[in-house]
Amino acid sequence: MSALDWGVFAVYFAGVIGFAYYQSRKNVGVEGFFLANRRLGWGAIGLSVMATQASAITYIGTTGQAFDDGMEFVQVYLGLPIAMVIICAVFIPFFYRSRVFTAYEYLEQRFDSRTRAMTSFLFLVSRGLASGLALYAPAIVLSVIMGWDETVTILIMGVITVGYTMMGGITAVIWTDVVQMLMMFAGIAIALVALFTALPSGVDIGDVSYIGGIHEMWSTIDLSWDPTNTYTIWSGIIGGLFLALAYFGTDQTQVQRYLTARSMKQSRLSLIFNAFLKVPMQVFILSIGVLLYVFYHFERPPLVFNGAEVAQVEASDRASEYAALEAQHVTAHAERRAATMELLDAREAGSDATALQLQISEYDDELSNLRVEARDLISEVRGASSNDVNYVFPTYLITYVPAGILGLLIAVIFAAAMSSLDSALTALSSATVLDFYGRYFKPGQPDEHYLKVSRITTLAWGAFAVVAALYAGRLGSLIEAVNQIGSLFYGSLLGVFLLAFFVKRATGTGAFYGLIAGMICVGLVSAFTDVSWLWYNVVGSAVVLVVGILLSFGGGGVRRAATDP
Amino acid sequence: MTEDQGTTAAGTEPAEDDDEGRVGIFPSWRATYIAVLVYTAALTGFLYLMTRVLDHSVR
Repeated sequence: MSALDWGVFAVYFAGVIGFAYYQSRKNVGVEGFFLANRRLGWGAIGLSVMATQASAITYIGTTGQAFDDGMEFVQVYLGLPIAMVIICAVFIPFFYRSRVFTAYEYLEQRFDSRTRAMTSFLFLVSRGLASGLALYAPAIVLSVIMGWDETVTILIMGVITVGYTMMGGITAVIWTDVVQMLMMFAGIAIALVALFTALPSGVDIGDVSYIGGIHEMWSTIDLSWDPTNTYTIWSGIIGGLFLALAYFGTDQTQVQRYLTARSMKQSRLSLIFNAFLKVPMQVFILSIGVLLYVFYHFERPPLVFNGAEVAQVEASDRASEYAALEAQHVTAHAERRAATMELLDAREAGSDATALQLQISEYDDELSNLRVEARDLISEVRGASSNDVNYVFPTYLITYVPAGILGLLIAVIFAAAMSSLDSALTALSSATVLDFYGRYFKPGQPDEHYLKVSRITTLAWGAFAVVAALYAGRLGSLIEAVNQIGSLFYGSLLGVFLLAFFVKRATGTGAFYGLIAGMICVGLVSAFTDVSWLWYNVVGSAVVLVVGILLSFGGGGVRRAATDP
Repeated sequence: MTEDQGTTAAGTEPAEDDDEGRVGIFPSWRATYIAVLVYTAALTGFLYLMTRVLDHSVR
């Protein structure tokens, strides 16, 4: 990076720290630290909700995914606006009227203490480990692409984020999220403009859409009913609806955000804001990937984008095999480039281009197959799977983007990682202090005591995330496995909340054992079927509801009205 | 709760939580929710149209 890039980078960090310090002065007590004294407006909360969901891997991973597979991933988000309506109409009134600090606290008011403890514990385990991955994933990419030391990258992101979160609590987190989200919007716009301007002269937006269309890269809607197909309109609307309900409606990381609103109306507006903006934002992010795909018709891309993995295979006794694949890649790309230029000329002249389209499709297939072969070769050499999806966009940035803009776009990747981590830290701290420490270990202490403990737990969770990130390389498969287990009980957690809201006669016993049954069933579906993960949340919720209702109506247990906090 | 928000008689709900009031350009929350659902349907329709119109594959 140039001095200008480092300057942009320094301004970003100084701005975030200064802004966090300024905002942190407004916090008073535990309610201030965790809920900003319930005084924020919908705009800041809405942007923070969005920033929390958009991690660094969302930003660099989805662009790489679109580069390989097109825009179909956007279907996952189609259920999100519907989920927002349900959360606004049903979930928020319950949370708001019960004046809770955590989502799980509501479950104690509605059911019993063990249901609260169990759900909060599941949240702590999954979110704690996910925070480590949220730091590790962008750090490893940046270390490979930029040549930065992985440990230093993790420490810079971790220490700064933990510092301002400890200092300013949720107020600092939300306002820095606002800045970071605005940076991400700017980053998306700049990346799109930079890609367009990097295309050869004479290639316009019509040509871009045409070239992308030859390989069906703009294909977003798949109407097939196959449940093993991950991305279809049905898995997106139904599975995506349950996923969004679970994430935005029951995960403390998000619930905490809209509990900071000065009124229920402001809470709801923050989610309606996301309902309108989230899908278009994803379309723009994925479009970057498709534009990269078109861009690399004119510039030769690396055969494999992860330079560290390529170095490994080149240093092995199978280097000649890789070199042969690379030579074929160079030839196929040059031929596709020539055919593409010819196609654009033919299109401009109005002549029939079907033969050229077929030819380009064949080159596309050949280049895709070469990438698959190269990754298989790398996997064999490394003894571990190879996936370079997260390296596609950063490789483009470092190779083609001019000084200044590069610093800004790398800062955006940092912003995306930090805005997810800071929200997770406040949520983890609130669940630890309020659902466990203050509930079981030290109840009835003065506010100052809990505020002090809240800062300490924020620091502790931050340290845990940093250490998990530092060791993630060695424990990669284990951490990934635990993270996947998290997705197994997400739907079941949602089922407990649905039981609480919609089944007035539901009991704590029904909820508790329903939750366990739901997790077991989702585990079985995951282990013994090929059903897409997007359906897990539907299965988990349904099982919890059925078992919960059966146990509630058939057995004993204390019943409390859903509207009686 | 801070002093500038006001409360209902029960003292548990902020005064701004009137479900019957206007929501920005929408006359009520019900209208807002319907607008979101219509918007989602229109967006899905647009994406489907994009899928069809921009499909230039020849195989």
